[in-house]
Amino acid sequence: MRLLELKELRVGYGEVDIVRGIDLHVEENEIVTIAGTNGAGKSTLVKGVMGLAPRTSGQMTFAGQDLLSRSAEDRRSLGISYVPQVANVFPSLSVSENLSIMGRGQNAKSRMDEMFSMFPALGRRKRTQARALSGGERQQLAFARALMSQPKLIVLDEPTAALSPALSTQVFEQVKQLLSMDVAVLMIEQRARQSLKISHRGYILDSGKVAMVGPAEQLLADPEMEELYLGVHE
Amino acid sequence: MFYANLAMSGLVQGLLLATLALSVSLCFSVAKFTNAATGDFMTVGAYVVVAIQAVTGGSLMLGVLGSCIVTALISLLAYWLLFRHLAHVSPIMSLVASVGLALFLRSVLSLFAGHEQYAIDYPIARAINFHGFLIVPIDLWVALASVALLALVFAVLYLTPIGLQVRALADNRDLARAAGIRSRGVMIVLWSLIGIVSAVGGTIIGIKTVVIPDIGWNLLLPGFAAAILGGLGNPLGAVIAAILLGICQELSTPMVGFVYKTIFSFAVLIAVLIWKPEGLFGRVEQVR
Amino acid sequence: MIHYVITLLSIGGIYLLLAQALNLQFGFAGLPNFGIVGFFAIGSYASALLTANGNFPVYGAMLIAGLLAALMSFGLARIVLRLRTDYLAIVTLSFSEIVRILVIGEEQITNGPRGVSGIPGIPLLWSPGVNAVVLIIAVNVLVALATHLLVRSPFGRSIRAMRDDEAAFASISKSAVSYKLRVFGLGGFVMGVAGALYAHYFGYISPDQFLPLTTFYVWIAVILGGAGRLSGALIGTIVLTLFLEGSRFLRDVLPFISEVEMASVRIGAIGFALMVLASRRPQGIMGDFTSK
Repeated sequence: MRLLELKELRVGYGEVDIVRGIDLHVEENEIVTIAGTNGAGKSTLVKGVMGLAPRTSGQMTFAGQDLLSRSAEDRRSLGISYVPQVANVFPSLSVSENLSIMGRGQNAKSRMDEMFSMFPALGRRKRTQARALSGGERQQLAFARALMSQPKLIVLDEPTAALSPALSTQVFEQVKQLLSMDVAVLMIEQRARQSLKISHRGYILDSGKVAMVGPAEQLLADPEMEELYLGVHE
Repeated sequence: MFYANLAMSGLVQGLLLATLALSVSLCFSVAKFTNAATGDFMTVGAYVVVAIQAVTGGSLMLGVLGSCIVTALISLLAYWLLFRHLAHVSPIMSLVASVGLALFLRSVLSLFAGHEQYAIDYPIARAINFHGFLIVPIDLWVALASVALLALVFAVLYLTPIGLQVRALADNRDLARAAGIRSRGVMIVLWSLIGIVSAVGGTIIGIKTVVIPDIGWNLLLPGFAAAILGGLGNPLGAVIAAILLGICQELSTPMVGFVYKTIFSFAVLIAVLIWKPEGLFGRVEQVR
Repeated sequence: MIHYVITLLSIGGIYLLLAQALNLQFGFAGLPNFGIVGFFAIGSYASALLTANGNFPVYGAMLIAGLLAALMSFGLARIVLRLRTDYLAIVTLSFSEIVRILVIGEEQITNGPRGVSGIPGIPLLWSPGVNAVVLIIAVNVLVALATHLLVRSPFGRSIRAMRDDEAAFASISKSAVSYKLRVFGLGGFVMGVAGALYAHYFGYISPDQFLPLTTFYVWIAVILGGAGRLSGALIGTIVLTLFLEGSRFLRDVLPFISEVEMASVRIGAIGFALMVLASRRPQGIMGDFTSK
């Protein structure tokens, strides 16, 4: 079943549209990578999907429900979680506060314990302020926070942006494991090759439009793709 | 003993500054702008106490409680009519708007209450003398009340679910929205707190001096200095810095003279900005 | 009548100078100055004190007044430039209050609350009043020309790029930042000269002429016309001067309002205008300055 579906989506700031008519979809339990050069409109697209851009038009639905008319604050209860680029935790909140902000009650309590057993490093630092965590721990906290609300879709904006290559590999491992939790992933990545390797499908953006789309292996094997979008970055 | 007495009066002055610095800091951390109307909210708070005392016959307790409610409502009204519309405006334009509000509030107060001085009634009692260390009972009450107020604010921020949301929104607005936190509820809490803090702060100024339309504005500078000293946007730091600043300011009076007390806080402000712009307890708010 | 027109032109001209200076600093370089009246006061007092007692030449004193104000504004901006612009706003606002307190406090130098009188008028040519208005207009034209050249220059373009995109701020070279600092200093210079002109025009200054309200008058003028526009400063100043003068006439029409009440109403109206402009029309009534 289709979870997220965008048709002719346009997203813009001020007078200009950065994203200029994009068709895109994410199925249940699917990992989808969005790649493209700097300034292709990747981050703006994500802002649009999350309802955080000043102006969004076209069609956008989630599990059949209209998303365009819903506010950013509604996304969580619909089942969409967001992990922004770099600033992906609440720095002055403690680790457990970062998680409890996503929900309270008995249910949340047990969910939080699940998270701590999934990310034992976090369980050891429950009362630490998030800003004091290491880069890797912070990334784990961002994932745990996003998973707290038991979402159907997680939107990741360059999860490896500020991380070392070793940590990045770890992050991609984690993303792959999300599949076992019944979660679909829409992921923006600069490290397109690595990201496509763990994805089902991929979209390549160029100047606000979809330049290429297809199954991940196909994109990885495409010589044109290799030359234009993969070669330079790695 | 002379310095002990100065320190005591500095402590009271510091607690007063703390209420102002706390308002500035709260507003900066959550609403992301410098509110120049903070001092004038306190002036409003003081006038409301005077008005309630005039109607009810002088109960200070009733005056303060009533002022907390009325000033919180005025603060909420300011949010609803003005600050709500500044969400997409640059921080500097928000500051300009808050200056406008400050001038407007002062003008309304002086139109309705005139420029004559008012006083807040409080039970006058003889100072208690401990071998030369004088404690005026009202100072004790002022200190207790402000500590209680600060405790209340921090309890709301750190012990309640809505306080958690306030802090989350202050940290990262987009992430907070994606986490389902609605800013409206948070803002209502924020501006109510600012109103209550202003009412108590206004009462303290009114008790320590007289009530005129300028009292709040005149305290803005030392309030800003304390807020920056504590790390702009760090409420706890602002409170501690304000108390330190108040005590140092009083202790320096015999050396630099009365007129230059304000200059002392400016000097502190500049020194902090040169050597430790992130404040004593803060993090740097640099242009990224 | 001609006397009144000259007065109006002088006062309006001095406000226009301040508005042009703020336009340079805020509209052009993106650096807010909330302590305009402080630099204005420094210029006033410097020029007045130099000339009132001695035989110091008026033009030389005005130049020194401008340089002094420039130095102060440059110094303050330098301290806080790497921080958020809010800090500059707070520091300049505080600075202007400090200047006033110092002027009141340092009686031996400034004559305290009694003010300085007997400031010589502007010499040469015609009568001192006419001299002043001619000079005020001439300085305005000069500043407008200089601003025009500055905005068109290559570094002017890079500064505008900086103002429009705070994120790109850091990536642009350090030299551009130091240019911005100099623009702020230049604005301070103009404010200082405006202060000197004011002192020599009126012949008497006192601390209560340098209240923060003046700063916000200038802000109104600049925002009203739209920050960053030369024409904006002019239109904003005209509206402001008409309002300030008009509110004086209003009192003649409504005699039951006392002078004190009228002052309150004026402050309230300025406050109201600031609120409405900043929240509803931050680009000014003339429209968006970025799309010219």
